[in-house]
Amino acid sequence: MNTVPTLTFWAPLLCLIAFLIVIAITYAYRHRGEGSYKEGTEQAEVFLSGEDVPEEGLRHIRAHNMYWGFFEAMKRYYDPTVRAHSGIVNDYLIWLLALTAMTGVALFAAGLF
Amino acid sequence: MDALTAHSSILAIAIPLLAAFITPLIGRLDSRVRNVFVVVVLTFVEFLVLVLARDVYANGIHVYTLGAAAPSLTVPENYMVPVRIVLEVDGLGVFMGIISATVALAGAVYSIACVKNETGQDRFYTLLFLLTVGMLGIQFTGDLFNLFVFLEILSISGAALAAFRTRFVDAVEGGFKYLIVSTVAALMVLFATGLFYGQYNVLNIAAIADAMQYTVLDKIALTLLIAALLTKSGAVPSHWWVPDTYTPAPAGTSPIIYAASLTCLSAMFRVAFTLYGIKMSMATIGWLVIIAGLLSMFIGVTMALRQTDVKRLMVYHVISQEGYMLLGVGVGIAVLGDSQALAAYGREAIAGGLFHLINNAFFKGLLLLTGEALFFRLGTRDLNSMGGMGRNMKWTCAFFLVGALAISGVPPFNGFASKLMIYEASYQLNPMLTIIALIVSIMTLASFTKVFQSAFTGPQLPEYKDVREVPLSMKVGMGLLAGATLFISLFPGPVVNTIIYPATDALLNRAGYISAVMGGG
Amino acid sequence: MTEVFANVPFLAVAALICVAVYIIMSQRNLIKIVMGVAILESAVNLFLVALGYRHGGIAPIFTDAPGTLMVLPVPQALTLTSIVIGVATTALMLTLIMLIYRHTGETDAEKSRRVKG
Repeated sequence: MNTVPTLTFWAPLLCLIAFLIVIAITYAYRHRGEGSYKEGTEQAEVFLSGEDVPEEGLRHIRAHNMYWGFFEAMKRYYDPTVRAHSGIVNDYLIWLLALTAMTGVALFAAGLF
Repeated sequence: MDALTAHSSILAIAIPLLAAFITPLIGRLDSRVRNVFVVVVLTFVEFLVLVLARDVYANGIHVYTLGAAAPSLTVPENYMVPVRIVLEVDGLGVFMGIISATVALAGAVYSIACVKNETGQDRFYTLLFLLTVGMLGIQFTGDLFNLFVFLEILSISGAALAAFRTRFVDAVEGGFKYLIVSTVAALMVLFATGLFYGQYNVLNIAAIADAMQYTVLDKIALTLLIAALLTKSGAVPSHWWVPDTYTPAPAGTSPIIYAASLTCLSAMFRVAFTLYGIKMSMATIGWLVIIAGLLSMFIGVTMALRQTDVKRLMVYHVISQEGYMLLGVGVGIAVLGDSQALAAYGREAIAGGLFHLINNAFFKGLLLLTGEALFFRLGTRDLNSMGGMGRNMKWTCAFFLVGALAISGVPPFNGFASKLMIYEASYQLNPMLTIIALIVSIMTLASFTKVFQSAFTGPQLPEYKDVREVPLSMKVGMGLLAGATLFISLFPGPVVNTIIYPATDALLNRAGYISAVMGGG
Repeated sequence: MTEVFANVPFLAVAALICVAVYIIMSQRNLIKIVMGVAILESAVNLFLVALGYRHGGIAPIFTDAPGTLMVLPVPQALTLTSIVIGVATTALMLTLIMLIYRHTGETDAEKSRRVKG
């Protein structure tokens, strides 16, 4: 079963045509936006559902806030895993020897059957 | 030109080795001349590797005997086994050689602007050349002890490069941990070499493969080799050193150290397919590699989601993507004895794994360079303090987007093509493998969305108003890898047929590898 | 009994490997870990030299040789290379420990780490 398609020089042409079609659709959407607004008034300000808008330097959402729901849900997996990444050299070597031992046991056990 | 082709394999190793030690002498004269010299030598090495590739694709396995009257006289008169060091370059060797040479060139060009303000630049370029020598040596050699020596060259220069900026404590720590783990792994390889020599009295890989009888000592040697080379390439459960070492690596050396780990991965493939091949218990080793791949994928990407250091996040993806390569090739090893399954999906799986390897070397290298570019301009790697860089650093943002979409497997980039091959082939062995791989792919996209949102989008932060774009040489270095990524994305079919399938068939053609050195059947 | 005597080098290799593995797994002082790695290197070098021995063999030098049965010279060459590589890696490891001490003031593996997770 040959999974790699043998398109040769048609492939970039198709990519380019698909890209142009997507750009055309994007511009069509943006063109349908509301064009009639008054510059410099309240209509052009940032709106946060009625909340106070923080000042310029504090508006950006920082990285440690992302995916917190995922981390809370997977807490039982994450706590031992993060603790295992301890940064101590001895642990690194223990795992290397454990990998060797597991491989050896698997190989010799497979040879017995 | 014929002479150059015949000697290209040894020249590709010897010229960077010589240049490594000439560079400090030239650096004493003038630093700009030294930078030009570095780029010229690495371009010439790339040219040599391409000449060698053309020879291998046209004429079959390229053999070079060091010290013989003619390069192809592997077995001397009245001898039964090869006694000299033999370089044996097949499809896999030139495949990895092309990757190493291109990534080394891109990294060196990138480093020219990035290392400008450091002290000891001469030693930086010497170590860079030695790392390239180590990589090409492992890829081209046909002798097991030679592989050990080049593995140690690679480890020492990699550790010294990781610890290059000694003013940062995490750099020194990363280099130290890399060196300890690498030395123990390399000693395991040396012990296995001793076991082979004690039994068969030869060090040549083809000669050992010819005489292989899979005794108890050979099983011990297989255990040591697989565990040591999996550790050197950064697969779970010995991946702990990878984030500590790659994150503080300076300038353009992160992609080159990554290519060095991929080289150790290809050495593992060489051991599993050529040294042992059908003589070992293929299903056991195959499933071991598959399970290592699945764990690498999952643990790599879930730890990556948590990181707030931009380079450390990208480095956990190194572990995760190596899991894909291990999954693909592991499926191939598992069905190595079943010729029907091998023809149906085993060959596709190995080809998918190798295609993912070359794609990763390019787009992951590109992403590591963009992370270093952010550090170069902002002085920090902490995502919590970045924002709005897409306005100031437009080129870096564009390169980051190319890399992030490619690594997440978004069509039409090359990451999608190689992941599709791996999914289709591994599904036929066990559907669970494909499901886990798909989930990991989604989480990869999630973590790069996190980096894109934190670092590049968002309003202009007042403290970064004056940050400019990176210098020209860094843009050229990133552009080289981005260009390679886009080239493979646009022409996946020709690339796979020209480079990947010969490498796959070279791995599967154990008899051909043996007869190229031992001569006739 | 002669079986045990003939295999004493290999038993010594096994003992040294056990000692070295115990050291690198359990000792926290960075310099002791490097010493453990050095003992592991010595063990592997001893293994290489020991597997070349032939009973009753002489040194592999042809000039004025008193007999023709010689020990294998190739493992001796491998061992020399390995010793030199060991010197280089040990020197680099100790230099890095000095730099870690200069930064953190600690040589304990747990107290001197600055990166984790």
